[in-house]
Amino acid sequence: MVFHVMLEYSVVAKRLRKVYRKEEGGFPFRRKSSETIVALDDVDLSVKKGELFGLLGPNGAGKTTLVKILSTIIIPDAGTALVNGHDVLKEPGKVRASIGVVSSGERSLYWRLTARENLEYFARLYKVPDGVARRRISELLSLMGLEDRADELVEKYSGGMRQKLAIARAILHDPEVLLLDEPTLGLDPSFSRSIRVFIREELNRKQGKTILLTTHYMDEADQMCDRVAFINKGRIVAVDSPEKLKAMIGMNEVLKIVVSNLDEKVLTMVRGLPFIEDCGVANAEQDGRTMVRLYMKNVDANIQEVVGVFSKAGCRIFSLSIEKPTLEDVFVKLTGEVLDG
Amino acid sequence: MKPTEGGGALGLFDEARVVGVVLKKELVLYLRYPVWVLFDALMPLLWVLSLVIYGRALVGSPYSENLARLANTGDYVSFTIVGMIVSSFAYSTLWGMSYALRGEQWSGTLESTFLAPCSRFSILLGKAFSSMLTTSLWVFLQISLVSLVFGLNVKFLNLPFAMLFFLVALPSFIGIGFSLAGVVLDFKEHSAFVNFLSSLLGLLLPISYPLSVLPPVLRYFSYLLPPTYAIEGMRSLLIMDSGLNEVMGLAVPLIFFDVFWLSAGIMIFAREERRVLKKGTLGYY
Repeated sequence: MVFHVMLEYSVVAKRLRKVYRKEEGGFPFRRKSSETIVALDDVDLSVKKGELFGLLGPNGAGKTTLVKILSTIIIPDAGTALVNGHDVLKEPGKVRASIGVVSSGERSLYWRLTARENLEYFARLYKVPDGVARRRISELLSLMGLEDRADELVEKYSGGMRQKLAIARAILHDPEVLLLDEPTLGLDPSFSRSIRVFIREELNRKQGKTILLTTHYMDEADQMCDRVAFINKGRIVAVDSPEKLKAMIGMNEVLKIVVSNLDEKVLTMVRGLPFIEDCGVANAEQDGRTMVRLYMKNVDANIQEVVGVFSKAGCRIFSLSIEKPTLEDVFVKLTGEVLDG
Repeated sequence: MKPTEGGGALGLFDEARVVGVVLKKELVLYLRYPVWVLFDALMPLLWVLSLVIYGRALVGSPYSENLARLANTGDYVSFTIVGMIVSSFAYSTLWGMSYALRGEQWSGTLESTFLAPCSRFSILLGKAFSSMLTTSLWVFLQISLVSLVFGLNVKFLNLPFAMLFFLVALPSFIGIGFSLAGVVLDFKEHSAFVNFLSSLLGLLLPISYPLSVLPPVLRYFSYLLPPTYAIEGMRSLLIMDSGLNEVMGLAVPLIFFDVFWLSAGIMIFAREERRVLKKGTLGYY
């Protein structure tokens, strides 16, 4: 059974649990507080070999904790995890040798070293033979479009260039599994797009790497991933392909309305309409505007009635559109919460 | 839920190469902060000059009868500079490890470094050796300047023996460095801790005065510190022209300290690392 699991899956997590206990006071008077945060609550997860698997959830859902446990830099309180068949607790060295990790933010590189010096340094830490390292560094710098600036200090790079270099560092030793924690966070749209294409086309499809990608951007997960797991408050809520997850909503269309002067009374009235199945309110309020997503059947037939309720209640309607269900709709339906960002 | 720590995926040769590449990276980074280099070059010179001038003001000449009675040499300039040199190397090993890991936490590179399948001790050793290498350069400057200005009576023929004696002391310094690195990894606030420890060692170690002038209680504490034996032994070899057989009495406790501190250092670092990984605070600054 274990051998079968190892053959089919690159990442297997069983009943992982992690609780953070806050600390109070400074050294040497630090003591544990009674306040705790449950980061992971009995998480089960399996990522197939060669799969691009997305872990989608809002900030603080437990995504980074899970990636750090799988990459051996956080020890879980309970449960087990296998990466490439190696137990993260019993064989951390073998796990580290077989994974590449990219975290969000830009501080995982030495800014006062050049791109080439950074890669040479990490190649040695990962035991890449000198000749192989030289060739691979040239290839990766070229692949990332950084060869012209390879001998410049990283501090002169833009955020997107640093993220590309961080990806180059993660794949330098040609690991079988990549753990990418919010790899496009904070990047401008064009850089994000190029990084997404690179991850999907080059790393996953061409090089066949197994990728576990965390994100709170639903579009990113929808476009890139073979399967997606929703994580919320430390629990996995659902796992399936984006298409199957979206089919869970049970309808083909969603009515999206942006209104002002919205309050709980109006929402209760809207929810009370007989054809409304569910309702999601996005937290992206701008100039008093709120986005409401209404899950209903026969949108065309019922749209007038919905508009009437908002208008009678004194809400001003700024825009109205009929859309296909997104992963965010699924998340809202499953958790009653919205993904931020 | 105890993990098997320390990577373990690389062989000894690879680990030696990791030590080398960390050393190289630290030196390159060091040279990219020229103001630090300038301050590091000047500060030890200022410390040693102020001590030597202070001594001259008290004694009125380069020779102290009182020191001769207490320490078998009246040449306080040579006495002080050997003390400074040995303590500089001890400090550079200790602080080189603890400061460097804290620096990686500040710069955000500690997690990416610890994600590599090499031993953490190779990384720490690389940092300690780089720190010792830069210290060697500044020590050479110190000796040259003090020799030029005040004259220095050092038995240079005994230098290989002195270096050998230092090598005997080095594992204990490294062991203490491992312990400090572990404590700093967990408790983070390391500046006050290191400053206090530096001042305490400045009092307890026989850097600019002989042990015999310390109050007895403090002297006992001083005997618990490996650098005390290193300073006394190297001073004996470099100033008093002693032979290796005459410093064996100091080498024996050092060998005991080597075994004790290396074992303790590895255990303390591994324990602290495990605590940090359990708390999930490895990269926190």
